[in-house]
Formats: sequence, structure tokens, C-alpha cells
Amino acid sequence: MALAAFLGLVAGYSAFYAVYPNMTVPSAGEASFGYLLILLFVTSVPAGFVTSNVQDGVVQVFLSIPFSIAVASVLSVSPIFIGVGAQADVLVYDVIHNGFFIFLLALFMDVIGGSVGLSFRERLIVRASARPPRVR
Amino acid sequence: MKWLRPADPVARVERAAWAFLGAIAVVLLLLSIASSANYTSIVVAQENVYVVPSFRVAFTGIDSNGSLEADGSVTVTADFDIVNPSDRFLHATQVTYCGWIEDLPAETGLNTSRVASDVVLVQGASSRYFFRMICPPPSMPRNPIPARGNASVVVAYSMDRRSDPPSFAALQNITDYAAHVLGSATAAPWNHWALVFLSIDGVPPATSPTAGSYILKIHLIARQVGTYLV
Repeated sequence: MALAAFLGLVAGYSAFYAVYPNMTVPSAGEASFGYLLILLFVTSVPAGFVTSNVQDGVVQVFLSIPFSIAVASVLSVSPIFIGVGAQADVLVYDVIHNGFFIFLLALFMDVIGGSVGLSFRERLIVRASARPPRVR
Repeated sequence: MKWLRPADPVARVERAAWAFLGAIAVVLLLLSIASSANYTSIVVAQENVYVVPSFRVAFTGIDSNGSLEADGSVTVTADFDIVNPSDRFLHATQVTYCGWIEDLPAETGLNTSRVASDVVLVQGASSRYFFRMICPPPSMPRNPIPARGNASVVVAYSMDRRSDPPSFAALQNITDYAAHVLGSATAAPWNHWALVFLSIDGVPPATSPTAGSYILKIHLIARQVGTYLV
């Protein structure tokens, strides 16, 4: 669940950055696709590594979807919390509609990066078990 | 001889991975909070900034009879007091102004030569005619407006016979009428309209031509004062 929430935070922040690049920190005139790819990949590999098996990894990737939508939605309606602006439903629809590609990309990158992390873990386990025990 | 378990490299890397994930989570949380605050401050600026305008019309070259002489001129000084209750620093980037003078001779039927070009403002049963006197290209003042403060942007627009002979002839006719019927050349009412653009500092303009309209305009605040007559 913690990993799903973490992946949701990454995907939600990424979607908000992609939809409102000049209002996010760091701000830019245009969202950097490279920044998004690196962010999504760099976070999904260690998340995959600490996941013990493929089934858990798949479940946490799908569990991260509601988290990501929640994070992006909360960010997009944040002015309403201090009583400015209105139409929360429109803002939420906008960020989900315009950030849909990023949510999909995040899913894809979580699967790819998670698989890389898991395979790295497997290799490490195989290598550790093949190593002869040390004698002191 | 004592056999020991080898140090578990998986557990070691796993600890490092958890630490890395924790650090990234903290950084992302901070970035999300900063983004939320940044976004909120932009929306606050977009919604709460307002402009208090004041316009002064001054004539030079008024003779003893109250008529505007051929070497006279009219100057409209627009003073925009921009009140910025937000936490963002702003810049006034563009001011567009247009001024119309009420065409009293046309309204009374004394001079109907400008009726076709005048703008008619219907108010109930009566119609008022306005002649567009001044409408120069936009000016770029670049005045800074501090956060949680206010600043004045003053722009002056002049017109004389050399700059716009047809409009100046109309002005002479209208001010003559005002001087002789209302007692003062400055008595003819004006309609002022202005559009003030302010840019929000720290919000980069969208660079992509395919960016959504909400992104293209978010760094700009537009405030309109008065009525544009068409």
C-alpha cells in the first residue's frame, strides 16, 4: 500500500506538471518529457526492487491509479482550499482529461521500471546464493 | 573454525532502496506543496488584482472665446492605480486606451457630417453619439507592481492637428459647441476605455504553440475599464 501511494504521488505530481508546467515547481514554459520519463523510471525501479514478487508489483501498480488521480485532483483544486476559484469538478476533469496520457505513461513506466527493479533483485539473490560463505 | 552467514547483499540494497524511495517521497511531497502554493498564488493574483482608473482631459490652445485654436491640442492622461493583494510581483506590460467624445453637434442636428462614423449609444429612449477621438497603438509601460501593494501606471495620449487632422477638426467643432452652449470647451463628456495587461513574475509563458488556452494566458492578467464603443 505504501508503495502504491508512493507511485501514485509520483504519477499525480507528473500529471499536474504535464498539465500546468508553468505553475508547477520547477516551472517551465513547456513540460519536459525527458524530466517526466526520468522521474517515472527512477522512482519505479527501486519500487520494483523492494517489491518481493511480480503479483504484488502488478497489484501495487493498479492500486497506484486512484492515488495518482487523488494527488493530481488535490493539486488542481488547491486554490479552493483558501476560498479562491471555483468549479472543482471542472478542474478535476481538466487535470484527469489533459493528464490522461501521463497517467497511462506512469502505469507503463511502473511496469517497465518495476520489472527492471525486480529482475535486479533476482540477479542479486542468485549471485548472493552462488557466492561461497566467508570464513573468519 | 566458525562458519558465519554472509552479509545479505539483497537486504543491504533493499535498505538503500527504501531510503532512496523515502528521500524521493519527501522531495516529491515538498515539490507538490510548493507547486500547490505557486498555483494558488497565481490564481489569487488572477482573481484579486484590480485597477482603479482616473482620466483627465486637458486642452491647450483655447482662445478667449473658449474655442480650440488650430495649434491647440488635447491630452488625455490615464492614471491606473493597480492594487495587488496577492503575493506575486507583477509588471504592467501593455496598456491600450481609446477615448470618445460625445458628439453634441451631431446629437442636436447642428452638424450631421459625422453621424455615419459616430458610435450611437442608445440609453432608453435617447441616443447619444460618440466620436472616436483617440485610439493609439498599445503602450508598453513595464511598471513593477509589488506583492501586497499597489502602483500607479500613468499614460498620456495627445492629439493635435498634425497627428490626426480629421479628428482634430471634429474636436474643434465639438469643443466650439460645448464652449458656446455649455460654457466650457471641456464640458463635452468623454467615454474612456482601457485594457491593462499585467504579467505575473515567475510564471514562464507557454512556449508550445499547441498548449491549451488556459496555459497560454495564465501568466497574464487582463483588466478592462470603461466601455468600448462599437
